[in-house]
Amino acid sequence: MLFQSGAFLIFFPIVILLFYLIPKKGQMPFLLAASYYFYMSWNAKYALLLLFSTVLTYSCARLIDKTEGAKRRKVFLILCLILQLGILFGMKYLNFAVSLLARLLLLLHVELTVPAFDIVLPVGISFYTFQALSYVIDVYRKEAPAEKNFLQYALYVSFFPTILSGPIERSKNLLMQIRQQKRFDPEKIVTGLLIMAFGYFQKLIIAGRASVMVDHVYQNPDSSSALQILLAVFLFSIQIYCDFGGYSMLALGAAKVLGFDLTENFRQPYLAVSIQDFWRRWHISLSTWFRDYLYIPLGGSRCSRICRYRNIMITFLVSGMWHGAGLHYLVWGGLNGFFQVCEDAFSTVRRRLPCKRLLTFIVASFTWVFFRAESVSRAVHICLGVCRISGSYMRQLLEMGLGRTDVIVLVIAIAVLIVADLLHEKGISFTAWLLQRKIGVRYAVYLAVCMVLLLQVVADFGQPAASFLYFQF
Amino acid sequence: MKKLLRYTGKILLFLLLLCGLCILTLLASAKEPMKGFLAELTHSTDYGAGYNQGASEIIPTIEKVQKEDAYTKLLIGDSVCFRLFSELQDLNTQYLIAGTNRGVTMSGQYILVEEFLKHHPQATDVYLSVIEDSLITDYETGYGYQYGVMPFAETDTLKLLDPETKKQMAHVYGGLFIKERIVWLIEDSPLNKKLYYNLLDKLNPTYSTLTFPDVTTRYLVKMKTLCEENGVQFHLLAEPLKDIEQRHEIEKTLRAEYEKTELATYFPDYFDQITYYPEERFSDNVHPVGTREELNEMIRAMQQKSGCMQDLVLE
Repeated sequence: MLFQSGAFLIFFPIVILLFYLIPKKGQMPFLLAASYYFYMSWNAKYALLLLFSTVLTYSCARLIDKTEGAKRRKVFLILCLILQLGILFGMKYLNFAVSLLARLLLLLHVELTVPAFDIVLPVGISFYTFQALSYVIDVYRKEAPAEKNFLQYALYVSFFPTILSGPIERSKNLLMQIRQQKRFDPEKIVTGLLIMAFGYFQKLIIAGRASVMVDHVYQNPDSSSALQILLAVFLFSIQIYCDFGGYSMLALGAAKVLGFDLTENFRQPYLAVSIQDFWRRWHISLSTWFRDYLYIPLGGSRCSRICRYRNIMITFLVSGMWHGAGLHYLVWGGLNGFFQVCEDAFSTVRRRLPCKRLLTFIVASFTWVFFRAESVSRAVHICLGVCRISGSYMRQLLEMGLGRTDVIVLVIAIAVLIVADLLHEKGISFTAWLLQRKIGVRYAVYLAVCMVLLLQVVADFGQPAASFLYFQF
Repeated sequence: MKKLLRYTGKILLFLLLLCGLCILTLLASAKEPMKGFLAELTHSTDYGAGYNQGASEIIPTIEKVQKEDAYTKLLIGDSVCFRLFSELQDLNTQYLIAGTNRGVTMSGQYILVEEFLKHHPQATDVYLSVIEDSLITDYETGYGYQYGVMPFAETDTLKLLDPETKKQMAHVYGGLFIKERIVWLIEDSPLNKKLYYNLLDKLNPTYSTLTFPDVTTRYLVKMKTLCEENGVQFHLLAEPLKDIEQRHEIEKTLRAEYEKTELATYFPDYFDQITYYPEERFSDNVHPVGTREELNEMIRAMQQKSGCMQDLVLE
C-alpha cells in the first residue's frame, strides 16, 4: 500500500476516524492492528519477520533491564545484535557477499559456483531493524527504560507511517508518545494534512517528473549530450530529495494527524554550506543513528585527527552499505566520508571559498551519481559524459522524455520548493501563517492545494504508481 | 466527541466545495480554452481527437439511415461487413450499405433498422451481415461505450431501446453515463475520457464470452418482428471466416450454444452459411483482405449459401 495509492486514501481516513472514535484505551491496540494490516498489504509473510524482530528485541531489552551483571547484559546485547543484524544481512547482503567472495576467489584462480539465493527484500527491514536496535542499545546504556507493555513496544516498531522508510525513531521520542492517549486536536490534524499535501507535492509533481528525465539519461548515457547528463545529475539530487523527503513529509504528516510528533528527517539539505553540514540536514534520523551508535562508540571526534578521519570513513562506508548491497553504494558512502575528511583537513581554504551552498550542491549531486547508477563503472561513465559538448540546448532539454508543459510544471514546482526551503531556513512556517488567516483564505488555500494534487493524480491515473526510491532499502 | 462532530461539519462543507470545484473543472475541460490546457496538464492529450473514434464513426451511419431517400434495402453489419460491402455503395442504388462495427451490439443494429424503416416506408428487405463474434458481443468496457452507447446517446436514438436494455447498459457503464449531456461531456473532453475509460476498466471490467448474450437474442428477434410488422423481409447472413483450428473450435462451441437459444428457431441456417477461406485471405483474425474481385468472390459465396441479395451489383 503506497502512500499515494487509492488503497491508502481509503485506509487512512478510516484509521483516523476510528482512532478518534474508539475509547482511548483501545487507541494503541487499534493502531497496532492497523499498522500490521498496512505492512501485510505488501507481503503478509514478512509480517512474521517483523513480529520476530519485535519479540526478539523486546525480550532482549527486558532481559538486559532485569540483569544486574555488566557481562551478562553485554552478552544479551551482543546476542540481540547478532540475531537482528544477521537477519538483515541474510535478507539484504547474502547474495552480494557471496558474489563478492566468488569474484575475489576468482582473482586467486579459485572458481566458486554458488547459486543466487531467491530472496525478496522485506520492505522497510533496514528501517525497523535500526529502530529496534536503537531501543535495545538505549536500554543497555540505561538511557531509556525497557518497555513492559509488549503491544506498545510492537507499535513502536511497526508504526505504519514510519515502518517503510522511517524516520528511524528513538524510543525516547516515539515510545514515550505511544504511552500517552491521544486527544482529537483539529489544529494538529490540519497541520498534519498540510504537511502530507507538501509531501505529495514533492513526490508526485517534482520527483515523478524529474524521474522521467533522469531515467532517460541514465538508461542512455551514450546517446545523451553533456547538457542532458549535467541536468540529469542535478535533477536526480532534486528527485531523491523530493522522493525521500516527500515520503518523510507524508510520514510526519500522517503521524501528526494521529497526534504523534516524529523526528524531523530533512532540514533544507541543499542549503548546506558543506558536506558535513549536508549530513546534518539529510536523512537526519539515520545520520544521528550512525553518530550515536557507530561514530561515537568508535571514538568520535575526541581522538587524534587520523583516528577521527578513520571514524568518519568507517561511518560513511557503513552508511553506504546500509543503503544497498552494491559496490556503488559503498563508493557513494566513501565519497561522502572522503569529502568530509577533506573539508576538515583544508578547513581554512574551505572557509574562504565563495558560493559554498552552490559548491556543496554540486559536490553532493556528483556523489549521488554513484548512488543512482547501477555500477561504479557506469557512474564514472556518466560523470565523464558531462565533458561531451553538442547541439541545441532547448531541443536537448525537450528530448529527455518530458513534454514542454511538464518541463514548465517541473521548473515552477522546483521554484516553489526552493522558496519553501528558504522560508523554512529563516524559520518562517507557511502552515503556522496559514492557520492564523481567516477561514475564507484558509479554505481557498486548502482547495487550491487539493486541486493541484488531484490534477496530478489524474495525470498519473491509469499508470502504476511509482514506488519510493528508499523502499528498496 | 463533540469537537469531532463539530469538525465533521466543517469537513463536509470543505468536501462539498471541493466537489463543486472538481465538477467545474470537468465541465471546463470540455470547452476551449481550458480543454487543451487541462488535457496537457493531466497527460490526457492522447484521449483527444483521434482516440476511440467510435462515435464519430457511427454517427454518419445513423444519419445515413435517417435520411429520407429512395433506398429499398438496408445492409447493415459489423466491420467485416464494412470491409466487404462498403465499396459497392456507388454501384447499388437500391441498397443502403451501412456496415459499422461489432461494438455497436445488436441493440445498436436494431436502432439502425428502426430508423431506416421509419424514414423509408418503401423498404422491402433488411440484411444483417455479421460474423459469429458479433453475435456474442455484449456491452463491454473496451469498445462497447464508444460504439454501443456514445453515438446513439449523442443522436438521441438510445430512447428506441427498451427499459430493460437501458438497465443493462446502466449496470455496465453507470446510469449517469448513458445520459446524452454526460456522454457529450465525455466525448468533448480528453480529461473526462481518460478518467471515465480508466475508471470503467478498473471498477467494472466486462468482456464478452462464448455465449449469446441477452442483448443479441432479444434484439435479433425484435429486428425480425419489427421488419415483419412493416412488411419487410429480415435476413441474417453469416460472413466468411478464416480457416484455422481456433475458428473451427469457436464455431463448434457457439453452434452448440446457439441450439440452446430461441435464435435457432428464428434463424436456423446461420451457421450453415459460413464459408472458410485460407489464412492469407485475412489481414488479421477476422477481416478479409484482397482485391475487389477476391472480396466479391466471398460475397458470391454468401449470396449462394443464403439465397439473398441476388440483385446486389458487384462490378
